[in-house]
Amino acid sequence: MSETLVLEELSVLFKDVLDNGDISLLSSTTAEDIDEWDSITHMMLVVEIEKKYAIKFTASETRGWNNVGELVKSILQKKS
Amino acid sequence: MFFNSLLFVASLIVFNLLYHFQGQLLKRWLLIIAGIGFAWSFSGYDAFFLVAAFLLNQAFILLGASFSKKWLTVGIVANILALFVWKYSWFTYTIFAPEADKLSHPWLNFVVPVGISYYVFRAIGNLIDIRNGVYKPENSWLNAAVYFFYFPIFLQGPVERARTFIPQLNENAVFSWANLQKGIEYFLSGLFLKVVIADRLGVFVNDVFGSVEDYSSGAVFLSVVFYAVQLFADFGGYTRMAIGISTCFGIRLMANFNRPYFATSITDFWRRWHISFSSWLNEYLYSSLSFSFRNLQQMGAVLAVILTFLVSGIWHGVGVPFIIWGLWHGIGLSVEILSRKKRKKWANKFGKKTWNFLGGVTTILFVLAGYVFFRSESLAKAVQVYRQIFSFSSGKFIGDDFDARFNLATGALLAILFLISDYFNDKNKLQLYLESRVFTKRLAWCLILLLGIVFFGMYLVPATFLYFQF
Repeated sequence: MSETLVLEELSVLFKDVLDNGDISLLSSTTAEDIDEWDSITHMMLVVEIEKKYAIKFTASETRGWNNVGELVKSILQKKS
Repeated sequence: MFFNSLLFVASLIVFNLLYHFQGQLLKRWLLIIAGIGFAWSFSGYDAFFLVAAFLLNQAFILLGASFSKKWLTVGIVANILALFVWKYSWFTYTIFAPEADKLSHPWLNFVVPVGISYYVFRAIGNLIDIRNGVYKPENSWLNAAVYFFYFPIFLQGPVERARTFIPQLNENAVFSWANLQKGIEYFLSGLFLKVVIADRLGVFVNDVFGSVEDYSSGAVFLSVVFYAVQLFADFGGYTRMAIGISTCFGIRLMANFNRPYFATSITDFWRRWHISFSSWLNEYLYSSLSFSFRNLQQMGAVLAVILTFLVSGIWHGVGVPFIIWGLWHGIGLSVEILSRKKRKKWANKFGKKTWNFLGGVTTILFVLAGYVFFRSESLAKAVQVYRQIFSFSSGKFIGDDFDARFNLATGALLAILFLISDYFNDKNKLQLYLESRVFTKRLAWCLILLLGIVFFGMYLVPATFLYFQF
């Protein structure tokens, strides 16, 4: 599983959960860049990511990502 | 001693003259002494509590670093318990014994130490940050003490985080005319908001809430609107003064407001109102709750929001009206969570401008409805206010005397001007515009504010602030 693939899969997931077809994620994307991404939708995204990759995050992990790139790394670490 | 008292302003001038000519070590000691002295100006009891809270929290941090992180959790629980015991033990007792007499239960009836809600929340946030590894505490007790005792934020915040405040102390800020000038501008504009706008509006609000049954429906509704402006001018004014004082010392504080009454949804309102506190709740409470409830999907978010706002209501004050106010906002936000997708469709259908306008009107009406509980000292009073508004009765609108009419007219005019200026103050544009002007223009602006304060200010005794009670 590559970083690019996870990024593409996450873009689809973000579009669906946040109901915004214009989202195109980059490693540098942060919550500031997407209007719909706030503390409420953040947890909805976490749930969907956990389901999709069959992984479980800890509370501190969900608070620690500074951008999408760090989220992708976290997913890859758990899948390796 | 409040920021709007003459004694405070005089002390602040003397302190600034003394402070800026010292080395960094002595500056830190001066800030600590000023902080304890400021608490002492309320009472020795308040200063004792502040110092005791600092020592205990430092002990927990030390134990956490030396032995086990569990000591940090013990510290968090101890802070919550201290706040609960000193603020809520009597209220909790009366739930089970409504007829209880205060005098016969002195051990349950504590005097709430000034500022406790704020410094305990700051301490809890600090302990959580250290436990989660977000912030590594310094070895310097002196810096920690400056943060804990820092007098500009002691009474009403902002709920500053140690992780952003303490590193600034190590920048060893030196005296700057630019900072002093900016600080004075902030302080004067805050003082103007407080003594000219908030306190003037407060006269009408207090009159109406003091005898609701005597006033017409329109007057009661107007008093709720005025209360909204009064609260913003009062608390926003205080925050501007705190930021101004701090700017003189070269220390940046968090912004607490961003045009809250122009929010387009309740969620948006809480991103703009009392930002340092709402972001604290989001960071330290809501995120943990929503993580725990995440498998409940949207209902998990709803549950987390309602519990978070229940805590917000309880933090704001003792009594049923504050709990209802908290729940009111929790329910409002829950409705927004559950209707997220539908609202997005409607927004596309109506167009962004129309939708934001409708959202803005609905939000302000929702916030005003909540303020009835926030301002009322009892549930019965809140019900009475609502009854009077919806009775559409034609009682008295305003007192007959000239002072009352003058207050209402100038209060209304100033409230409108204040809201218009706030509308144009997106991203602090007005202050930035002022800072781009030449010195003489900035000086003229300060003189206008000063004249406004001297000639149109209201000098109430005691010179208190609305958010001080929380």
